[in-house]
Parts: sequence; C-alpha cells; structure tokens
Amino acid sequence: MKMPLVAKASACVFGFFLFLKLGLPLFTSPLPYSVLAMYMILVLISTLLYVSIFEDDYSNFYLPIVKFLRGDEGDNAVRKMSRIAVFVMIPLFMGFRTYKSVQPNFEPPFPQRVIHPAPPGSAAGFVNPYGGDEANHEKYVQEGRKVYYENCVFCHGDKLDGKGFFANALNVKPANFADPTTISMLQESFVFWRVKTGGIGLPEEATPWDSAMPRWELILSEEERWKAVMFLYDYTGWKPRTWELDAE
Amino acid sequence: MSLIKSIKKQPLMWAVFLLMALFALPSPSVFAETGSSVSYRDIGGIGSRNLIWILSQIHILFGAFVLGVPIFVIIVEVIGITTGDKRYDRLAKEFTDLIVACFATTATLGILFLFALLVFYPELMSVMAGIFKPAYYVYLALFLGETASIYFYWSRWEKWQNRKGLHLFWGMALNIFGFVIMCLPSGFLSFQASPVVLNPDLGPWERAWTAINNPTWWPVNIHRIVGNIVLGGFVCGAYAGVAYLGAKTQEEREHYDWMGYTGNFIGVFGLLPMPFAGYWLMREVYEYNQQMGITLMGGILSWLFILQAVLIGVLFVGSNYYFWQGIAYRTHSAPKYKTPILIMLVVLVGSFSVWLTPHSLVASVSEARAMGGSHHPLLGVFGVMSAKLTVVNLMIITTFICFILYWRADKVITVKWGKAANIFTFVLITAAVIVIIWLGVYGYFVPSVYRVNVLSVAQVLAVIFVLATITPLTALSLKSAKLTHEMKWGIMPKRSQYALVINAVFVVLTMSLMGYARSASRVHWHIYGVLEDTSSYGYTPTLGVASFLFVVNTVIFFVLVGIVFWTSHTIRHNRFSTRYFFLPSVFMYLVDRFSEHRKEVAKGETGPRFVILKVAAVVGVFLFAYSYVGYQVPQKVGLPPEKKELDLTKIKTSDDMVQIGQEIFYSKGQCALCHSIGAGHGRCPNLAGVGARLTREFIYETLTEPEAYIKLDFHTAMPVEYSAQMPVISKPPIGLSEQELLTVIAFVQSNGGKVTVRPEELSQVPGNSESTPEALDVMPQLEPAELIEDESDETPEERAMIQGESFEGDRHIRMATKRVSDR
Repeated sequence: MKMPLVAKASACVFGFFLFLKLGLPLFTSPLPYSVLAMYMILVLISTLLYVSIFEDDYSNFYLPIVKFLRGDEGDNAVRKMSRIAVFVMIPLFMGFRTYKSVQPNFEPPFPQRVIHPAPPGSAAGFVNPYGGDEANHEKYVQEGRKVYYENCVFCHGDKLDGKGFFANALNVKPANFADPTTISMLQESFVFWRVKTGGIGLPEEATPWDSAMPRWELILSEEERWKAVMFLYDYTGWKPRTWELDAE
Repeated sequence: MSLIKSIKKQPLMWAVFLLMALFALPSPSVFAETGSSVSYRDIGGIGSRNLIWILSQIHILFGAFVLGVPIFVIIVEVIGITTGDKRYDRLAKEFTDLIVACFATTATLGILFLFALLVFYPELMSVMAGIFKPAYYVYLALFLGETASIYFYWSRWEKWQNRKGLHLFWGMALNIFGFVIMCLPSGFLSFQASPVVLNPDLGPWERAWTAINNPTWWPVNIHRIVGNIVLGGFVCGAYAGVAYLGAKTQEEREHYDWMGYTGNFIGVFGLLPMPFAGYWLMREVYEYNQQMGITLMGGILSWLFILQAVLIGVLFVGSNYYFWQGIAYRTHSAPKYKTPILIMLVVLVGSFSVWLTPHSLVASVSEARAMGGSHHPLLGVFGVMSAKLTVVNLMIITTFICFILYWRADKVITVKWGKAANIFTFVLITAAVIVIIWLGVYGYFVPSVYRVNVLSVAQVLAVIFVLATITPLTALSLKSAKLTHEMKWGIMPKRSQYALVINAVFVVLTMSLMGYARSASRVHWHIYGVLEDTSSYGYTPTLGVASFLFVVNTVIFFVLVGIVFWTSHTIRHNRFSTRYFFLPSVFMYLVDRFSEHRKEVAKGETGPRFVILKVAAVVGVFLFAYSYVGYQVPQKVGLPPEKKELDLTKIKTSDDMVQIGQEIFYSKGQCALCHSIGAGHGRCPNLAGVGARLTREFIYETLTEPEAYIKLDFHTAMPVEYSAQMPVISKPPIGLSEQELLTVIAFVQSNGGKVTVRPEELSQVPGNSESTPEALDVMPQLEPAELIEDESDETPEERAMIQGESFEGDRHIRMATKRVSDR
C-alpha cells in the first residue's frame, strides 16, 4: 500500500527528531534544547515548503488535513472522535506548556552571554615582548609551562583540554585550548587580555559572566602571563591569529 | 483643487520649489545659529536617536529603490530593443513608473532627515558641514541632474519610441547621476566610520575630497550598489506579486507573473555576489582599524550576524522556493524535477542550519555539563568562519544550479557538442563543490591568516569560475535548442506570490540590519575616534530593541511604498504630475473615490477581495517572528567606557605612566587611527620598537610640530594612499595636555626603549583642565592655557627647558631647527 504524503512527511520530521534526540548522543554529546528546537523548526518548515511546491503534493498533503479538521458528511465514528481528540489536545498542550514554564525550577537561568566581549581599544596594543625572540623561545615556553602548571592546570587540565580537577564544579566550563576553534581563532593579544581580566575583570557588556576565572593581572606579572600564553600555543600546536601573511 | 491643477500643469515649477528648499537647507547661517550653543536636543517619547534612525533608514531604503531600479530598467530596455519584443519595453516602462512614483517621497524623506539632524544633532552637523560643505553643493547639482534625467527618461518614453538612442542617453544619464548621488553621501557616512586625519591647512575642496576618499568608501559604494539592485529587484517582484494576487483578468496575471519572475531573477542575480562584497568590506574595516573589526565581529554585535544569517537564509530559501514553483507550474516536465528539487532543498536547509549554529551554544547548566563546556564537540566546528563561508558558497552554487535547471527546462539541446557540454557542466559543478568543502575542512588545520587570505579567496574564486563558465556555455548550447513547450504564465499558485512579497520584506530587513551594523560599529562615536557622542544615546542598544526598530523601519517603508504604488496605480491619468508627487496623488485618490467616474469603475468586474489585508497579515506574521528571534539572542547594552581624568596621585612608577600613555594612545590621542605597533601595516609608520631609535625630545617634537619632523626619520614610510597627515597633537581637535603628552611619550619609549620620563615631571607641567598648585609654583609666570595655546611661537629650546631637559647635544632637534629655519 502506498503511504499517504501526510504520513511520509510526519515520519520524516519525527525520524529526524529521533535522530537528533536519541541517535546523535550515541556517538557525541547530546544537543542543548536551543539548538534542537532550531533544527526541528528548520526541518518542519522545509518539509512544509517541499510539499507545497508541486500541485499534486500540495493537494495530497493539505487537502486531507483540511478535510479532517473541517469534518465531512461521510465521516465515521473514529474520524469524528479523533477530530475531537485533536481539538481537545491543542488547549491541553498549551496548558501543559504554560504549566512547565511557570513551574518552580531549580536550574539557574540560561547564561545569555556574549562569548568574546570586545576588548577595550588598548588591548589591541598588547605586544608579546618575547614574540620575535626565536632563540630563547623554548626557554620562555618552559617558564610558561611552569606558570601554567602552578596556576592554570587546576581548571584547564593536564592536557589543556578544560578538564581540570575543578572543571566539574564550574558553570561556564574552563576553555578547552586543544579545540581547534578556540585559541587558534584568537589573536595573541586577545588571549593575553582575557588572561589578564579573567572572568571578573571583563567589561560590562560581557556580564552576566559567571566565570570564576581569577583576574590574573593581580596575581601574575605581565611577563609570566605572556609566557603562559606562549605555552598554550606551543603545547597545543595552534598558531595565534595574525593579520598579514608575511608575518608567518 | 487649484493647487492640484497647478501641480498638474506645472510640475517643473514645483520641482524647482522643492530643490530651492533643498538648497536653502545646508546654508551656513543655519549652522552658525545652532552650532555653538547646543550640542544635542531631544524629543519626548520616541527619542531623537530613534527618530533619526528611522528617518535615515527609510530615506536610504527609498533611495536604494530609486537608484537600484534604473540599473536594470535600462538593461531590460536594451533587451527589448535588440530582441524587438515589445513586452520588454512595456516592462521597463512599468518599472520606471515605480521609480517616478517613489522619487519625490525619497526627496521628501531626505529633507525630513536633514531637518531632524539639524535640530537634534546641531554640533555633529556643524562639524560635518565644516568638512563637506563643497560636497553639499555638488550633491545638489547632481540632484538637479538626476531630476532632469528621470523627467526626460520617463515622460518621453512613448514620444521617443523611434529615437531610442536619445532615450537611452537619458537612461544612462539617470544611472550615472544616480551612482554619483549614491557615492557622495556614502563618503560622508564612511568618513564617520573610518575618518582620516584632516590637516587644518587643507583647502575646502581638498578637505572634502580627502574626507570622502577614506579607506572604506569604495567597499561601501560597491556593497551599496549591489544591495540597491537586490532591493530594487525584489521590491519590483513584490509589487508584481501583489498585483498578481489582485489581478482581474488572465492577461493581467500573465503579465504580472512574468514581471514577478523578472524581479526575482534580478534580485537573485544581485544576491549572488553580495557575500563577496560584504567580505571585502569587512576586510577593509579590519585593515583600517582592527578594534572596529573586533567590535563588529566579536562582542555584542557578533549576535547581530546570527540575526543577519537568519535573514539571508530566508532570502535564499525564499527565492529558490519561487524558482522551484516556477519549474513546477510553468514547465511541462515538472514531475521529473521532484528529486533534484528535494536535493537542492536539503542542501540549502542543511547549509542554512550550519550557518545558524553559533559557536557557543545557548544551554542550561545541566546541558552544558552534558556537552562538556559551552562548545559542542561536534557542532562547535560549525560555529567558526571556515564552516560559515563554506556553506554560503554552497548556497550560492545551489541557487545557481536551480537557475540553470529552470533555464533548461522544456528545451532539447540540438547542438552536436550538447552532450559534452552537459558532462562538462556536471563535472565542473561537482568538482567545485568538492573543492569548496575540502578547502573549508582544510581551513581548520592552518593558521587563521592563511585561511582568510588564501583558502577563503580560493573558495570564492571557485564559485565565480563556475558562474562565469557555465552561464555562457549554457547560453550557447540553448541558443539553437528546440523548445518542446512554451512556458505557461499566469497560473502560479498564490503562495508563490507571497514568497515574492516575503523576499522583499526580508531584503528590507537585511538592509536595515546592515545599516545598523555600520552605525553600531562606531560605538559611542559620531565620527570614530574624532567626535564623541556625549548625548544620552551614546550607547549600543540591545539587539532586541534594534530588531524591533528594523521591523518598524520595514513596516513604515512598505506602508509608504504601498500608498505610493497604490495611489499612483489607481489613478491612471496619463499625466506627469500625478505620479511625481506623493501627497497630490493621495488627494487625487481621495477626490476620485467620491466622483462619478469611480462608481462606474466599481460596477465593472471585481478582482479578488482583501488582497492587501491578506498580504499585510502574512507579512505581519513574518515580521513578528523575526522580532521574536531578535529577542532570543543575548540582550546586552554596550555602554561607552568610563571617562578617566588624569589622576596624578595614582601615578607612582613609570609603569603606571606607560599604562596611562597606552590608554591615551588608543583613545583620546587617536594615534591608533593611523599608527600600529607590531601587528598590521597602518597608513603611517609602524611604531614597533621606536623607543630604541628615537629620543624623548624627538618624540615630543613630532607630536607638537609634526610638519618639521615627520619626514625626517620616516621618509620611506610616508602615507601613500590617503593624503592625510600627522596632526598637531597638542592642539584641537585632539588637544592633549602636556601631562598627557608625557605619558604618551613614556608609552612610545616603552616600545623597545628605556622610559626616561619620570613620574615626578607630571606635576611640573600643566594638566588638562586646571593644574595643581604645585605646577603653578614651578611655573608661576605662565598661565597653563598660554603654554598650550602659544606653543607654536616658542622655540624648541624653550620647550626643552620646560621639560627640564637639556637642549644641547640632541641631534634631532638641531637638524629639525635647521630645517625650520631653512624654510
């Protein structure tokens, strides 16, 4: 028997939902609700778009729905009951949503934050004093390694992957430097500035920033901070972002 | 009634009146009156900033339409001449009707905008007028030219049917005037965002030109002209869509179906190069000022580009949807396209979802725990530029494929090499897709700079290569193709016409958003780094508020466009005047409503009812949805940084001085507008390591008397492109005090050299506002103000003495003194 188009489309949307909700967590982390909702809305909209392109699809898809909702002379009891069920379900569903949203919740609110707050103008002027010194590069990196393992390792972890001892206790997880999309996308001066301000010294626009990262400018000297940044790049193998090709 | 009659009889006289009103506006007396006394005025309720925001945006939207449409009108007319198909000529005429209908509204809005600026931002306007005054006169002259060309082009359309050369000449004139009219104010605006230093000795014309010819002027021009074509195409499409929905006869439906198709095609045509133009603009912004680039792409505004992605994604999907429906309804072989269309839809929506996926996801605590951070291990890779650029290129290619399929539908290729061409097309597109994806993936494994400068450019080139090769190839192979069926026009379903309207709405939203992005990149500056916004509106609003204003702008624009089109369309008097003015045509419409003539028409056949209301409802749903999305992203206000007065008690060590000096270097001193340190090649000498080469005295002299010194040490690195020169830092507009100069010197020295400025010296030189008693004790004979004002009269020796340093023995000073005396 040929499957009606409505069933096909619903199966497509529902199958995609199952894939995202159950399939994906099998081999990677589960998706947060915000992303799941976004993808599902896109899938739903594109399904509706597709069935409205061709005339035959359009009538096969929308007419049965309209007919079902509107009711027909020849409807049997099952159809009638299911129609009533649908009309009862809609307000019930809305009520349930409302109940869920006003229900007391012990989760902290979503941290709607700006991830890379724009640094003040002066941050662009931070220049690594050891940048050009290739001869002593290894020495500085070793000094930076010492700084890292005395100060940073507890949160950012042995392998710089953000899985330090304290990482599980922190909301706004420590950054994972091993990830190709973190420090390799940032300039050295920006990373230095972020180390300098920590989570506490960030400008107003970055709040509410719940990061527990200390303001290292009060603890470490400028030299130590630069060396630590150099160590981050050296260990992970990423290159800081620069603007000219000839700077390579 | 007599007024209307006089307008109808003497449209030119009224046009001249309008122009005179325009001429009177920027007259210096207006500025002189308001400039000195008040900096800002406000208006209750809406707020002066929002009012300016709305007026400028709607003016620019109308302007974009009026300037964008002539570009393709003339192309359509030429096609009509070469093919001999009268349909094209009629279409071009109808497009021109729309321009003419909007022309006066554009000017009226411009006048309102200018008045509002003069009233609410008198200080800014007097500064701008001081710089651009000569350009204003050019602008008005151009406006006169534009008016004349549009008058001739439109009103002589029928008369000059046999003199197409002359007619095309005026069409070209219209386009040329239009282009320059667009470029000139672009110069004003881009100067605000990327100002160049203007020396006091520049003449008025030279000064205006220097300011206009700033680093982001051309990228903005190109971006705008392409944007104008897109806007013009889609708005014409929307007009045709609404007309189609309300059409009474099949003939009308056929005509408007074809017009809507053309409008959509032009819009898509402009949309394809748009990402490249935007990419170039952003690169220039980064090149000009890295900080501005970071503000745009990094901070609060980074979420703005997620909102922009929503808009552009809808545009791509919407215009493709219209194409697909065209294939489904107009062609005879529709069913065989079901699978290709499904594939294209999946690719488009898949690319769109990658584009929408932010790097750091919005997640609750438990979700973030489960993810192991705010970056998802798999989706995190979608969040960065490499992925975004890849999917944008894929979306462009998909749209292009869609167009090619549409083009080839119902045609049988008869040329011998047809099969080879097909294989070539298939192989080339497949190869391009593979290359684009491979380059995108490869981008994760190379340094960013390599990705930005090599890989991204290669991706773009691959797309352009495909477009530039396949288009002529398909055109050649289809030239002699056999047509199996004629396209069927006028049977498109209603939903396709709604797609046209929604596309236009989203183009307007996108333009509002981009206009806001360019203004917001200046943060709390009227003129970046030069004139600060000290009004109560000198902050960046939340993105929710901004999105709401985009929606407000869009609604106002479409309501105005609707009124203009509706009235000018309803009254089909074949007169010049009715379309030329905005208000008269409304009056005419109202008068007409109650006249006998109207009733007779009403008895005739009626088209579908409530079309406008239905369209408005659909548009309203989409706008509401967009506004809702705008409130779902982080809502943060960007406040201007706190003002710091130089506090001597806090400066204890030379490190403190260096730090203060650094802050001044990057803010009040405006040094970083031209100079960079280390990274980047600014327009002026790079100051990395200069501390080792220059003495303290030399640095002081370059700051206070740059003409004497500037070429001394840096003759090889003079600014080439922009004729901006080093300003006198101790004089207005920058006007650093002696204390601040010392801290800047300390900072410059710290770049590779030893800081010789001692913190104690600060208390011995005058400060910014009022100096401390100790400073007066040291130099009781001089008032602090005099020291700064009369500086140019002093000899270098005296200045060196003021600083408490010995003048003798300094090579630079001696050389420079000689240079000065030689002159």
